[in-house]
Amino acid sequence: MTEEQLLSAIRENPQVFEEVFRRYYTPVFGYILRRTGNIDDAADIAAETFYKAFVHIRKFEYRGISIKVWLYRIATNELNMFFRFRKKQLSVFSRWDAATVQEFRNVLHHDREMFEAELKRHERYLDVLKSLKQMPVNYQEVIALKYFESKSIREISEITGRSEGTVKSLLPRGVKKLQLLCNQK
Amino acid sequence: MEPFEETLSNMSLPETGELQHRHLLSGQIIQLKEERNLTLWWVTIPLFLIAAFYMRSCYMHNSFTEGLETFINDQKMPATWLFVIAPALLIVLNAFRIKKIYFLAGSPKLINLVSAVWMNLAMITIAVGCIILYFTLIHLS
Repeated sequence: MTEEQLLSAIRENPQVFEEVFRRYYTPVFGYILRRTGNIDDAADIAAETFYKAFVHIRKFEYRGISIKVWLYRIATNELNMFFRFRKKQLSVFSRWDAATVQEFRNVLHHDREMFEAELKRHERYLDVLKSLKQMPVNYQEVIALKYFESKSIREISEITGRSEGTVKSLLPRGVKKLQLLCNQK
Repeated sequence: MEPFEETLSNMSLPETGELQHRHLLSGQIIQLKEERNLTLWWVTIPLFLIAAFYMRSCYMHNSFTEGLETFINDQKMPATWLFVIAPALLIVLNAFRIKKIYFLAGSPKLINLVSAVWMNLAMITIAVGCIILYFTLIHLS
């Protein structure tokens, strides 16, 4: 099923959104996890991202940017809000009953153990992430997308909504600042 | 490539495997329905007042604008809140909402954006109408 077919299938039957989860949840969650370095924050932000995507997918217009890029865009926006205001939007959880939230936390516990072990194996990354988090979000997003997600300049431009020229100028400046911060430690 | 850039490009990164919470999350999210953050309730208050004054002017042979003018002059604080502050807030909130929908809808064409945000546009128009009415009546009195 192509993305356009998937979109029209979702418009007819919202249950088909499950396919969006199946295809894109893991990569988008991975991106959020690599930006936050924290499984609980990543799970909350990913939940909010997919909730917003589900609510707005009928309005989504297939005009060159893929659903995956669109999801990265929403996730980036949520992450920026999180880093700017130190606050997560948890509108999805506020609509669940307490038992479901608890069940979610219990299931997440299994994933948490797996990721905590995984994170410990990447010390260099953890050092870089610590410094990266001290930088303004516009640098954080381009550096993370380029070096953590291996996205091209064009893809970064589509995800962040900045021009390719802006991304090209932000990257070297950001890397220099990040290097300085890493060297200070 | 600078050595530090090379370090960034080559460092190992944490990967995500099979996520157990995905199934629960997808099941719960698909069951949810959209919730409107903004309602027309706040705009209906000044509209209700306008309707009340209009009805009074019909049955009591009183001018519609006179009734509103009296209200605005006698009840300065509530009138300012109902006809200026609340509508101004609504304009700002709806403008943000439209911006957000534009972003979430993947930057759609104008016509498709308008069909997605017609309710917000209607609220902005009504709110602007309330503000214009208030200042016109202030100016006339």
